This record gives sequence, structure tokens and C-alpha cells, in this order.
Amino acid sequence: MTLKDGKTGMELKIAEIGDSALKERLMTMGLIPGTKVQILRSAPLGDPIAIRVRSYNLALRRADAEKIEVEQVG
Amino acid sequence: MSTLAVALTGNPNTGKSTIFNELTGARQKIGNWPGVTVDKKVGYTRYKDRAISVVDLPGTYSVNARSPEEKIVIDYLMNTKLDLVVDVVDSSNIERNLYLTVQLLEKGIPLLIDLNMQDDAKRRGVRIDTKKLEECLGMPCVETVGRSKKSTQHLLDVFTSTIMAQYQPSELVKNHIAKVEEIEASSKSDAEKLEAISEARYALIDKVMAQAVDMGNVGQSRSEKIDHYLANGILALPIFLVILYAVFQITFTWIGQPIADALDELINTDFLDFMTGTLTDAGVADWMVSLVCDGIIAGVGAVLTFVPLIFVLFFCLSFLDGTGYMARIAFIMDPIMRRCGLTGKGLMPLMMGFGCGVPAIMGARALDSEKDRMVSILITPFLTCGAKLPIMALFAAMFFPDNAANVVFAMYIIGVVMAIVVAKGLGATMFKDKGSTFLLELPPYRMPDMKSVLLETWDKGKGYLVKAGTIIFAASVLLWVMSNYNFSGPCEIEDSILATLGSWMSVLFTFQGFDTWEAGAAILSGIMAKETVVATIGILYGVADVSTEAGDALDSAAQMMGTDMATAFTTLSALAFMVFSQLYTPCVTALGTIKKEAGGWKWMIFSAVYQFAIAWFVALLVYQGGRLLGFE
Amino acid sequence: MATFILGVLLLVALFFAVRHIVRNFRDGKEDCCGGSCPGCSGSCKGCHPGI
Repeated sequence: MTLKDGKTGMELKIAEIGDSALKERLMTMGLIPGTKVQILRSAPLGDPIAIRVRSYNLALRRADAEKIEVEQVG
Repeated sequence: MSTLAVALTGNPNTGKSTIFNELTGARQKIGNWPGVTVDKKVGYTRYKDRAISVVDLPGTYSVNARSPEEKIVIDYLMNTKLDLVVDVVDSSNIERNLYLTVQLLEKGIPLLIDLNMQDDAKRRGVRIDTKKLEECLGMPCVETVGRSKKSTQHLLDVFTSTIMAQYQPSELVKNHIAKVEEIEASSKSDAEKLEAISEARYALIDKVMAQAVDMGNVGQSRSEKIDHYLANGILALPIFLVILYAVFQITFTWIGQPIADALDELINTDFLDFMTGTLTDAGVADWMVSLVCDGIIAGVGAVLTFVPLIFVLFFCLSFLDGTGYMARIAFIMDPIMRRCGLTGKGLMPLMMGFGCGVPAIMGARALDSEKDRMVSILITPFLTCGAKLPIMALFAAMFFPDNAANVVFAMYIIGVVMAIVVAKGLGATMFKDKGSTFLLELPPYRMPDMKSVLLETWDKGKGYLVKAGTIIFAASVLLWVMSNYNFSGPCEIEDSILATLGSWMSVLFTFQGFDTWEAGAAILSGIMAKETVVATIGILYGVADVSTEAGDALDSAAQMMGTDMATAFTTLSALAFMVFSQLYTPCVTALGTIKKEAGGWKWMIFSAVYQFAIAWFVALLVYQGGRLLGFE
Repeated sequence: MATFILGVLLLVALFFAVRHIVRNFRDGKEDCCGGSCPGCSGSCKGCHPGI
């Protein structure tokens, strides 16, 4: 599954970050294969989404989240 | 002893600027980094007889030299002889903050690591073993809580007693550097190298974290709880609108406007009368009295009365930003903005456009994609900036006395609608293929540091004071001369240079209903600065005291009712003039900023011409359409 | 005489004002923002998001 498919509250582990314009920046911000993330919420109109990664909060669009392969933990 | 040279570096949202302001107070110098329009802030202080200079580097998440800011940081740190490089780290978010730390250590830059925001970290249950962290990295660490006298004192103590030459990177860090060099030397592609290096950096951080940091039981943070209301569900949008409304009320009704009114009374009545009296008594020639009173005081005073509004608006925006709410606005508004051909992050700079287009255009720099940036720059001048508001207020009060507020509001809407239409148009044509992205940290909510908010407000607001004393002052003199002389000497206003220029200009507006030379002159002067439109009208229609802000427009309008202005415009042509003023060519300062930010004369000329064309057509539509519908 | 003195004062003021405008133009500086970081309001993240 991808990060886009995750539901609010889900804890996920990043498997792979696909090629996108954001890849380098996502990795700088700490989204590395193996990193755990939790989906916190969607914005009122459904997009973007907010996630907790490495104990801070990051917002990204669903279109970009689709490029991030994840697997469910626990 | 020589001056101790200190540089502050760190991620955004770490309290770095607060520390800088606490350390140096008002003893700051703001300049530009060579070649780029990013501010260079240098502050000075003295501690135990030691002079200290502090440079506040732009906040960055990394130093990959991708953005101008990142390039500035790395170039400065690599090429400047510094006694101390301080890496300000948000202790409650230490994991990601260490990425920059590691990257700087790779470059061989010795760091004093400032574990800031200790109070936030404690509240969240994050425990950092400072001694252990020093061991892990081989660099000295110091704990601070952001804004407190004690922390500042402690920092200065550490600054003056730390000798960086004594510190060596730890074995752990040395091994990491060797690994990075190995990756660099390998035959992988650049993208693969970057990926491998990022992974290696976080692998090192994970090791350091395991040894020196106990993240505790990181449950829902306080900010996440607040976001449950402010950035979630159906309440978020209404709350945003209420906050926005409050900012405008504070600025234009509750605090800003009363001060502006008082100042207006002081300058345009009391001071004007005083000067007229004094100068006449001193035997100053009549023309000189007229120059000072009808020219300079009227012109400069018009802008000065507007300054309190600017200060209050900037204070509100600085305060809001200090809380961390601005990032949430971008978050909740992104889908709406995207439908308009923009991005959520673009809303922050655009909102500044209601104050002044120049910072708004510059603020577009924060946007990630080229397309978003260019579109944002080109549509900003359509918004009703503070200098256009008086034009709207004056005409509305005079020609639509029963609906003044609604007509002014309609002008704001026309500006916003035009901005959206043009944004969509530009997005679909000139910048079609360029993608747009959105990646934004949602920083923890914090009580803003008042000292920093006030310093920011002052930094931005004082520009208007400088402007009043320079460009508006010079423009007022020029305008006065041009409206009182022609090439053969003093003359009646109808024969003046300004009248000649205005009548040339007015030919363009034959079909818009405001083809008088006065209107032409006002439009022409508005390209210099929008503030001068109303001032010009005031001088030309023989009313010396035309206030340029909204509250007094009613009085001014009443004064003008008996003048030629009431007959020069019909209701319909006044409306067309308002629409034209709202949309036409931005002032020279804004044009200069567009040139700089959009990268070249091409965009500046494009902006000037297409806005004039759009304004011309919309005004035509309003006037001719109105006539077809039977209005006058 | 008063006219003359006032005229000289104005000319001096005008000289400094115009010099300021010319220098601003030459250096590409803007008064509107006090030369300070404009889009940021408060902290640096407005202009220097870095990500």
C-alpha cells in the first residue's frame, strides 16, 4: 500500500520512496525506508494530510503521499 | 581582545531568531547577502569586556545548496573565519534537527550544539543526556530554554569560555564521514548517492538517539490536540475566517484606524495650520508657503497617516506567525488555493498583499515550485493594497454614499476575482507543464516571543516611514511644481505641466468615461506610488486636506461634494475609475520587486502592460455595460 | 530672507531624499520592507523554509 491509502490514526513503516520531485526533500525531512510514521489527520477538505514522523508533524499532499510505499505495523 | 565572531545556524522553528534577538537586542544591522535578496542579520553585544558579533544565518533543514538560503549558510560557514558556530537545535524535535548537525560535521565544521526549547522537551517527556550526546558527537553542548535572561547569560558564558579547537569529532562521527566519502567515491548515480548518504546520516542519528536520548512516551502532543480543532474537521475553516476577520477589525477598526485618525487630525489640521501661520508670520513668500503646506505636508502627511495601519497589520501577522498558526492556514487552505491555480503556502504571502504588494511578492520566494512562485508574483498586484484602499474609500463615499462599505468591499472582491482568473489563465498557458508540490512542517504551537514580534514589526514598518521621508517627499515637491508651473513660468493649474501630461493620458480613457486631465494625471502619478492618486486628486480639485485613509474619506468626500470633482465624474464613470485603479499597473516599487523576484525586465514590462490592458478592458466593460443597462 | 533659508533647507532635504532613492535603485533595495526579511513575519520560515 502507499501512504495515501492509510487511514487516520494508522501506524505505518516506510518501505520505499518512489522517484518524485520531492524525494530528496522527503529524505532530508527524515522519511527513510524503515522510518515509522503515523497519520494524524486530513485537512478539512480531505487534502493535504498531516503525519507524525520522528516526533514532529509534517504536511504533504495525497498526490505526493502516493509515491511513498508503506506497510502497516502492529 | 579581538571580537568574538559567532554564527547561529539551525532548522526553522527552533527559536534561533529569538535567541539572536535576546543576545543582541536592538543592536542589529540588516544587510543583504552578496548577490541574493536574503537578509543578513548581524548583531553586536558585549560580555565580560569581550566584544561579540553574532550572525543569524537563514534557518534551513539541510545544506544541500539547493536553495539560495542553503547556499548562503554553507558558503558562509566554509569561507568565513569564525570563532564559534552555534547549531541551534529544538530539543523536543532533536531527531530531525540532528540531520543538519550531522551534515555540518561532515563538512568539518566544529559546532557548539545549543539544545534549545528545553521546557518544551521536558513537557513532552523527552530526556536528553547532554554528557552522552557530547561524547557521541565529540562536540560541546549547551542547554537553553529560548527566551529567558538566565539562558542568555548562560549562553554568553559558554560563548566566551569555549575554545572550539579543543574539540574533535568522535569516532562515531569519523566513521560516518569515512562511510560518506566511500559512497561519494562509488560508481553509483547521483540520485543513488544522495539516497545512500541520507540513509547513512539517519543511521548515525538513530545510533546517537539510542545512546543519548530518551524520547519518553511520545503520546499526542499539545499541538496535536490543538490541531484537532484548528486544522481538522468542519470547524477549521470558520475559525480561520474569524481569525482573519479579527485581524482586519483590529487593523481597520479597533486599534489601527483610531490611531490613524488621531494622527491625521494632528498632521493635516493642527500641524498644517501651525506651519501655515508660522511661515506666513515669518515673512516667507506665498509660493514657498504653498509648496510646504499644499505640497509637502499634504503629500507626506497623507502617507504618514497610513503608517499606524501598517504597523498594526504587521504586528498581527507577525504575532500569528509566531504562534505557528500560519502553517495551519496553508494546510487547511491548500485544496481551495489549488483549485484557484495556486498553493496553500501561497496564501501567507498573498495575505500580505492586502497590506503592501512588495513584501507579498518577495514572500512568494517561500513557494516550492517555479510555477507557483511566478503565478503568485504576477497576480499579487491585483489585490487591494493599503495604498489603494483610500482611493476606493474616497470614491465610494462620494458617489455611493448609501452603499459606501459595500462598494469598497466589491472592489476587494473584484481584485481577488481578477487574481484568481489570471492565476488560472497563467497556469493553463504560460506555466502549464510545471508541477506544484506542497511539503510543510507543522511546527508546535508556541506563545510568540513579544520582543521578536515587536522587532519584526518595527523592521517592516519603519520602511514606510523611510518611504514617506524620501520618495513621497520628493514626489510631493515634484507634483506641486508640476501643478503650479509650465515651461514659461508660474501659471494657473489648468495650464500646468501636470495638466498637459494628464490630458495626454486621458485620451486613453475616452470610452471609460473618465477622460479628464485630472483623472489622467492622478492615474499617471499612481504609477509612482498609489498613495499619490488621492493626493493628486485633492490638489487638483482644490481641496488641500484630502485624507488618504478610509475613516476620514467620508469627511473629505463631503468637502469635495461642493467642488468640481462631483461634476467631473458621473456615478458610473466613478465606478469605472475605481475598477481601473484597482487593477492597473503596479507602483514602481512593486514593479522593481517583480523584476528582481521574477528574474528580469521581461516580467516587469509584462506585468506593467498586461495589468494596464486588463484594467482598461474591465473599466470599459463596466462603463459601456453600465450604459447599456441604463445607468449614468 | 526666511524664504531663502527655508529654500536651502528644502534643497538639502531633497538632495538626501533623491540620493536615497538613487542608491536604493542602484542597490536594488526596497524601503517597503525596511530591508528586513519581508515574507517571513516573525520567524524565518516564510522566506526560508529550506525544505
